[in-house]
Amino acid sequence: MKTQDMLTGVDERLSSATSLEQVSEETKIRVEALNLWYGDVQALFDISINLHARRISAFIGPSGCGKSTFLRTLNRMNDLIDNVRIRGKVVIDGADIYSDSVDVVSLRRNVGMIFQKSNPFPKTVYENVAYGQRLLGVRDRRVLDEIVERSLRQAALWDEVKDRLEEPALSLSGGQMQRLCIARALAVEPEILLMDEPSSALDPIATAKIEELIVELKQKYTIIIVTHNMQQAARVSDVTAFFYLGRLIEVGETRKIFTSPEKKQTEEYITGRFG
Amino acid sequence: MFRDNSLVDQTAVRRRVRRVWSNGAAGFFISLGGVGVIIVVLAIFVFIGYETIPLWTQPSLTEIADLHFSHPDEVLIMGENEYRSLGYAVTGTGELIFFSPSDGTELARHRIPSMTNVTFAAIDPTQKKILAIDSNQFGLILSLPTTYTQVSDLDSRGITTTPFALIEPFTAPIADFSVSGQDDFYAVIAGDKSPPVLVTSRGASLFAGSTPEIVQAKLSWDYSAAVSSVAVDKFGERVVVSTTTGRAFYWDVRDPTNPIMVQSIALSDTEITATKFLLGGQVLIVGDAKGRITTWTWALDSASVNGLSMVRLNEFDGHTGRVTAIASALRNKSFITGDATGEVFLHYQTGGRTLLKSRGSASTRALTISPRGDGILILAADGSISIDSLYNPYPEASLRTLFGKIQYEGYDHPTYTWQSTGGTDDFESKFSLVPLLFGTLKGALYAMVFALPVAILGALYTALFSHPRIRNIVKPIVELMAALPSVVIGFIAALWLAPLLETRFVDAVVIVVLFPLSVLAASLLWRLLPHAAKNGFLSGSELIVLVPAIVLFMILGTYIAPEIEAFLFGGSFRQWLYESANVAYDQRNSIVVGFAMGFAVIPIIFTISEDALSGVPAHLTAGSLALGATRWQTATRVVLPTASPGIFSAAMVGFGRAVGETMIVLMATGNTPVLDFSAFVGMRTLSANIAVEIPEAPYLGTLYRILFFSGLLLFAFTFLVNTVAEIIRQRLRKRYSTI
Ligand SMILES: Nc1ncnc2c1ncn2[C@@H]1O[C@H](COP(=O)(O)OP(=O)(O)OP(=O)(O)O)[C@@H](O)[C@H]1O
Ligand SMILES: [Mg+2]
Repeated sequence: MKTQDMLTGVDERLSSATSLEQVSEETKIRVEALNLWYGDVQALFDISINLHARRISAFIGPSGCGKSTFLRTLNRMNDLIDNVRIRGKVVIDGADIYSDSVDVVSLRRNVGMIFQKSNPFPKTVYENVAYGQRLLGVRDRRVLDEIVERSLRQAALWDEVKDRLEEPALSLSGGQMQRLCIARALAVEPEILLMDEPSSALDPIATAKIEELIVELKQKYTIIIVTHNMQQAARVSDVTAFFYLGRLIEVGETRKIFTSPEKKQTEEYITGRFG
Repeated sequence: MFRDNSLVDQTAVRRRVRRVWSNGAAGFFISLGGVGVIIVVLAIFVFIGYETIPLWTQPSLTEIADLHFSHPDEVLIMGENEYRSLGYAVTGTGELIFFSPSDGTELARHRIPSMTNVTFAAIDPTQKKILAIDSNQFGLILSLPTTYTQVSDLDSRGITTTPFALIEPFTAPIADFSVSGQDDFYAVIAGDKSPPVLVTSRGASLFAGSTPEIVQAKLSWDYSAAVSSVAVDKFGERVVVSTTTGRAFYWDVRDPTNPIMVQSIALSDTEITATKFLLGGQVLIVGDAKGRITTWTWALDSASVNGLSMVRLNEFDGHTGRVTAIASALRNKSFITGDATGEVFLHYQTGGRTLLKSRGSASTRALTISPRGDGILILAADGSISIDSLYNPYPEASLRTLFGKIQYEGYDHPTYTWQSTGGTDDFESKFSLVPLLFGTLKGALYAMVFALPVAILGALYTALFSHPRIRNIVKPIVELMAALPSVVIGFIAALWLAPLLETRFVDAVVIVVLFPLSVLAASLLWRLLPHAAKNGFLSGSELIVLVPAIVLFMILGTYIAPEIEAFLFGGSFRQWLYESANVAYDQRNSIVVGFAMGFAVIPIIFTISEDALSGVPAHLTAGSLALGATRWQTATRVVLPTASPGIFSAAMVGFGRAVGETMIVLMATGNTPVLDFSAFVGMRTLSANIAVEIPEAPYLGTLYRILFFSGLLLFAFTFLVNTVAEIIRQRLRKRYSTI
């Protein structure tokens, strides 16, 4: 199922207001003047950004600047947090995901999320990957087998776990677990993947594997990745957005951000003068 | 340089020593605490166990003295006083010889008045009255004073005699003799082809000094076999005349002037050589020529003339030779039997156990158990009397009587019964723990049926669905429930809930059915509510709709319940239950207990489950929700399995608490120890039983120790439950462990 089918109340009124250098690309997510409060404390200020289909966008910024918070607004995971208040628009495929008629469950199915700390369920490898499909009521073992294999292959994990499908997921290594979580997210066939520091807990080899995988996944998915690792952002992303103190300071092509940033704060951060 | 180095080393060493020392000290105290707890638990276990050990000690028989008289053949029967300080023997020459049972020395000889040639003597179990028959058809009842400790007491208080002339001559009489109250006595005397004679004396002591009236009646019937043994019970109601063929005749002699033969029954296939009533008169002990020992009782039988007939109870370990003597104890259901080879066995009727076997040399002629049951006298065929002390403190307890199905006296079938004390001293104690174990499990299970769904679903709701603010109110309140003293819960259950449920049982059922329906209705309503209205509420505040719906449905329930009761059960459920289903409805029944005890265990199950559920890492929940799972799917597929070890523990802890709970079951059930699965009758649990019985259990007595044993059982039971629970929990935890 595509998001368009699920979402009603399409809001196209503001589709003309896009940022300049990305007009040519297909806009997947459009955020407009987004403000977010945790209770009385504002965490995000007036964020507007366009994110494109089949591109990797990287969010960088010093700790506490609101990257994770912003990422969570994109699949409404902030709904789970008490006292969160949001003003502004997040339009995915033309539909405002904060409109009353949106079904959060199908939104999240469409916008997958990979967490910083890998969080496989205490189930078998197989059941972890099949989880999302089982939620949809798929019971046919052959269908599931096929999806599990495909997802694991996509996550470049198949060869390592194909003989261990019935073992507990927690018996895998940290890097394997993270890729399992990616496979698990892929198994529900989302269009967008949100990744919050997916390789921060991993060693360089596992990180390289994940990065390779992310680049691979770009063919089909819109990927947004939060990272503290400048090299990683530079290596994998097409677009980089720099956040600072809850504000989006600068967004642009990665090459450009890393070579000739427009804002001073960006430059200072990238060159390691603060953050 | 060298100096410096050594200085540094010294402080480093000192620091290391201190660290090692404090580490060691901490380790020691922590171990001390841990080991201390284990020791205390073990000590409790050992103490309880220690109190029960005597139950299982073997009885023993020790010979104190052996008594030989100058004319040994002449001794017919012997007895003792209550304190075992004075014994006596009746000789065929009409003498009463007093001796000291502690060393066997002869103390004095009295001549029995007007008796020269005693052909037969019998003694009643209290050993204060002696029946003597002389060769001239002359009978005499010798009554010793009620208390005496030495020969001089007998001289001063006097031995009274009640003579009577037998209406029938007996050349070689045999007889049985029993006494009830102060002076009433009953004797059956038989001997040759002429019918046995029943000698009854009743109401003698009504007027002091009046001579008791003695009634004699013949027990005549046409049966050719010779009478080989007779027995009469203490109340003068039953006489059993046994014959050389093994056939016996039960006579109802309640009207001494008109004895009725009720039953002819084969008690053995060979000559019955000895019969005796057991304490209480409900059981006849039968010994035969092949050495077999059986007991028989009287059970209700509508086909019988007087509504009773004899049925067999137990068979005991048999003797090698023919049974020659039987004596019943005066304090409990023990009896001893002796045979022609000199064997003396000690038996206990309840449960049919032979407790002790001792071997002698000469044939046993007569036996008596001392009034307090602490000794026996054995008269051998050579006329010598063996004085033995008997250690038989807890004959009632055995694995069979505690756990087996036992046929008690007066029953025609075996049962599991707990009835520790009765109205009389000669009551047969029924110590089956089975109904109590059953009651314990039943009570706990009913409590769990009510508590588990409520507590676990409640925990699920508060942990996963409710708004944190609601959770912060609900949790402390439920935990406060745990602080409610169980005696208060029991009180409320017994005095408010039980009577209410009795009259409005259908209402309760209707409400229980309506409750989930009301929740469904509320959620439907919630769904129909427009989005805009819902967005005003915070997620998890659905309670605002739910609570009024539930209240509404409850009120509705109380209105329609009487209609339902009238329609389905003709107006009264209780009556319908009794008349149509033949099920009695006790006011204090398992349902009341289920509610009350369930209420008591809900807090602990709720709290532990809630902790387990909210302890499930948030990143798992987030992971599931991020995959597009609904909250319910996340709850059932991720959170519940992950928390299952904790929820399982919660259930087990709740079960353990329900098993051990005392006050509630004590108050909210009728404490009737019945083995009945019906929800409409009560139960008695092990713990309530201890509370009920310990005040009236004599210190260190059998009941006292059995109660300790049931405590041990409770302990072992909870230990078992906990161990099994822990094993399962560990398994679950391994399976659902998270990082
Ligand atoms: N659940 C919450 N409740 C209240 N404040 C929060 C919550 N989560 C985050 N914040 C605050 O919002 C701000 C942004 O936090 P966020 O986690 O988005 O930062 P981040 O950029 O992801 O940082 P990091 O790089 O360290 O992960 C911080 O000041 C943080 O303290
Ligand atoms: Mg973050």
